[in-house]
Amino acid sequence: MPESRAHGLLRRLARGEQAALGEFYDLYAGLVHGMAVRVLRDASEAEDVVQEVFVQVWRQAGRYDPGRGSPEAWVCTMARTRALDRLRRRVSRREEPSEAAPSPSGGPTPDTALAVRAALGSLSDEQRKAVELAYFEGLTQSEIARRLGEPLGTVKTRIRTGMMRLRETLT
Amino acid sequence: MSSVDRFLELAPLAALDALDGQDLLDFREHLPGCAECQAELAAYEEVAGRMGASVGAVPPRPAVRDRVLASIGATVATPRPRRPAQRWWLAALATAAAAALALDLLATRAELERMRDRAAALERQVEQARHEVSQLRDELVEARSVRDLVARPESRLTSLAGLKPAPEARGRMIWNAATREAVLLASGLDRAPAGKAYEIWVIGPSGQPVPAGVFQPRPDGSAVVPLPQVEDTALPRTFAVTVEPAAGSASPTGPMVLAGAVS
Repeated sequence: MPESRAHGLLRRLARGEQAALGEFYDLYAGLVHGMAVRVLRDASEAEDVVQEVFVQVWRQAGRYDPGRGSPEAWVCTMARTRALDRLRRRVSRREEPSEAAPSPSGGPTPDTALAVRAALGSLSDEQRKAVELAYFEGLTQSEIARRLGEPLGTVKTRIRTGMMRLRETLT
Repeated sequence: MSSVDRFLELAPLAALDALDGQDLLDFREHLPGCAECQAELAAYEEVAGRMGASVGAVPPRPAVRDRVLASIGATVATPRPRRPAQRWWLAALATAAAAALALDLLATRAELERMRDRAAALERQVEQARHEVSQLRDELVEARSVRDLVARPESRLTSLAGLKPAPEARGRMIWNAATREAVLLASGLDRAPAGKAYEIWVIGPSGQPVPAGVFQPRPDGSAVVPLPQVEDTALPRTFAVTVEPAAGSASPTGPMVLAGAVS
């Protein structure tokens, strides 16, 4: 993974080098867009998220702390937060997505994507479902319990054990 | 149980922003003073961040890249052909005007950024308020279901006494044989041990305990738990509460803390 390159670009961005944003964009735009498409299932809204995230990267590069996590996790978290914000606003307005979302490209898949997919695949169906409802739909533990019609304690345990398993596999 | 253990167990849920209710309040209060939980949360946040990679890259249209770069002012203006030398004072005046304009632009941009941050902060507050409203709505639904059940003339009341492991515990089951609805009101319960919860049982004519919901008491030891509609509530003989693994059991395995026979 081009992590050291991303660190270098973030340092340049923190110094205000505009050219570095283009390079950073080329590294992570697909990832950010993929995440936004997965959450929103709407191509034009997902592109708005891409724009918001990279403007945020530009403004907050100085605040990025390598000790707190990888650049990839950092941009993914931003993409998820922004996409979920839009999803919630849409739910509160009861809007439907305006057009069909593009599916993931058949292009080269980075090793991390495969590793993460394999890790998710190693969870039980119940664990994966609960973790994905929290992650991609932004539901809380009680909302997930209601959605699945399961006791809250059961849902909490599934999410916890699922995340523990992912942590063992991914770190 | 060690209270830190409970918070360590909440960390993976917190990393997904999945906590709510009392868990969320407790975790927020605990986190600032606990380095162990902060480290645990950071580790799970990294896991959550990496999960995003599982969706695979979907390249946006090329126009998006231009829009991003334009919005930070990174478009490179096409260089103009040089004019022949002008009067020096004209050039100086133009430079000064340009400098003033640039300063103005900087100030405006800074102002805009402040407004944007403020808007983001307000948006977060609205989100928080929306969350609280949805919690209150849930509590209202719960309170209404109890009220409706109590209001029905054919609803009955069965007292549950605290047993040896929980002598302070008290319970009342309000139940309706016709609709199979039931609500447990309990008090004096300790927090369940780590990884455990309280489970309610309805014992009907078959004598076989039927699981009827898992719950955690509130910090003050009370609980209001609407039961799922189980067939045995049509003709219950006994209601009981035991300590079970948090996910619930199919039949009782742990110590019984509350029990009451239908008279």
